[in-house]
Amino acid sequence: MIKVLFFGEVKRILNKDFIEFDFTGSLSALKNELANTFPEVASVLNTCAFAVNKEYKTLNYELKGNEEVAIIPPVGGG
Amino acid sequence: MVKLTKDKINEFELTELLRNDEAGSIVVFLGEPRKGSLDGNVSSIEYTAYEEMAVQELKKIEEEAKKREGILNVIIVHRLGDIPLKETSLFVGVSSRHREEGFETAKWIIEEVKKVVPIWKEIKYEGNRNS
Repeated sequence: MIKVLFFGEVKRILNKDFIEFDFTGSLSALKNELANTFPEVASVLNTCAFAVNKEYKTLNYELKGNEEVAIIPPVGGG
Repeated sequence: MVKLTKDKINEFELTELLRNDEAGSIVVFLGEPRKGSLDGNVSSIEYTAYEEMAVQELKKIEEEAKKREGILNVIIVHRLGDIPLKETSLFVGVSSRHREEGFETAKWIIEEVKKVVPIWKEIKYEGNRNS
């Protein structure tokens, strides 16, 4: 089971902090799955970075199925 | 030192922590919400974070900054929650042997914080119109 955390704009649109479900495959595949499941955030997902277990990863990163994945919309600290 | 806090930032106390016998320069940057001219009357900015990862990323920035020539100490503190105008949201302080590396490193830290640290802002306007 992976845990997908939502922040910023994605969290506001979905009104959810996280979801958990069974998944293995690349971050790219996860992104597509999320876009299909939640079409309301499909365009925002294209602007997001992804972190796995609190480390930024590129879309070709392969998930084993037990990770914490964070969807990171453009950050705005300062 | 790096920290995320919901409390008001004590700039004076943090600056005192940067003092060092070998430092010829202490550079302090304070980021704060501004009223905004195009967006209307901003009343505050609410900051949220992926806190564990944000601290981790801040530590990486601190470590990189401290490796730079002449840098003695680095403090990065970001406040979270609803921050009104004229209060500090980001404190970046750098003590160094000379001013040049202090200014350069402080600027580099600020840019990195804005680029990689998972912190988000929601602008609040007078009259409850959110961004």
